[in-house]
Amino acid sequence: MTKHADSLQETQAKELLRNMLITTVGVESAQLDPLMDLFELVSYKKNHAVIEEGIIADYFYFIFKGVIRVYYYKNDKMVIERFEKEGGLFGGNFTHLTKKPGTHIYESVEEVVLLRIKYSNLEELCKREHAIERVYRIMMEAFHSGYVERLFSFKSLSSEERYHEFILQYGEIANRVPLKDIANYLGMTPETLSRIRSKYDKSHQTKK
Amino acid sequence: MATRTQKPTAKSSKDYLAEVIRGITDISEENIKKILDAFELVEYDKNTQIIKEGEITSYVYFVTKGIVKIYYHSSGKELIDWFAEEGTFIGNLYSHIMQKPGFDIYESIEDVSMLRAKYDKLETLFKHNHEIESAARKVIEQYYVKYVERVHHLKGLPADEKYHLFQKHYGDFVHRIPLKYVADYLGITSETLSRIRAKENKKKRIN
Repeated sequence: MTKHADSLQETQAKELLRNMLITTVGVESAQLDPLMDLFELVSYKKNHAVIEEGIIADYFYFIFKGVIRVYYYKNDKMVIERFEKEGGLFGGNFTHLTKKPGTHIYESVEEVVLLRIKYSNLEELCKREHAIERVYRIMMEAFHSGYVERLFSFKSLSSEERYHEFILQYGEIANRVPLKDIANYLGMTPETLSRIRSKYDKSHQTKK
Repeated sequence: MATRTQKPTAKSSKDYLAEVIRGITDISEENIKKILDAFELVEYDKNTQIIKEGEITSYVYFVTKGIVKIYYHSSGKELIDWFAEEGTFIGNLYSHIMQKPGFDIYESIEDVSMLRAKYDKLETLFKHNHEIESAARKVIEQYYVKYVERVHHLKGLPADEKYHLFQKHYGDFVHRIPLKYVADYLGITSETLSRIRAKENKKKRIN
């Protein structure tokens, strides 16, 4: 990527993040300037571990382009916890607070373009600027709510309902993630998922 | 911490809350007082639904005595999310933020004393006070970490490991929760749990 293209992407990515924060938190655009200055653009190829297992994460990420798969190993079996897409945030499950090495791996499903900020810089800015502390507090709450909602839909629904919920929550991501990964995430076999999918597609075609 | 046999007063409960907040963040005594002023003492008998299914919560709670069970219904079955003991903040943050009816039920499994504050009142405090907002963010982070550890880490583990992890998280208060609740929470049968417990007690005696 050329330097020029990079700086253009960075501007666009920051604009997207800025607008998201303005909508979610109700903060004024100018108040976000010092926060935006701390973010930097990074990009990774497909299947790259952005956060590896066993480390304490230093950065918090915002996804501008691409999809991230969050997973861990339990008894040598891979378990996918969730996916994050454009507009999503992730940050190593708070290993920077617990100081315990992380158990999760954050890996790109396709080429990703991200904005990242150092936790220590964010923390320092929060101390100086009330507006940023406010942004952080509200985003944290939203983050938690999203987690609870996902967990709930996971535990209480039938296979079919889970897939529908997945489509609702993740939208067109469903077509960008390998089928076996989605099946793993939803806790069903790829065969069951295929069956549910074809039924779902059929009923949607009929509706159209 | 006040002993559990004593019934907490508003004063002892607020002292307890202040102590927990000081443990999480650096904050002036003046601001601690402002936070405490937003809270009031409430008491519930055993087996009371404090937050009902489908309710949009307007309060955040801090447990000063007793245990609250947090669960929901699915296909006619009761599924337990977690247990909140003394020193824990609870409140259906999800329902409050989304302004959607919550799916969880919050029910006392012992006589419970709690401090509660209206979300709106706290929001106003946060808005006008940087240090208090910062304290709130740190409390939410801690709550989130705890939640993730409790709910998530149990997924996919064998039954006995689940129980050990449960003991580690909850400490001695394991013995205050009815066996069938613990089994339900861990997603195993009461019989399996009894077996695991018996094995463990045997080991303890030998050691």
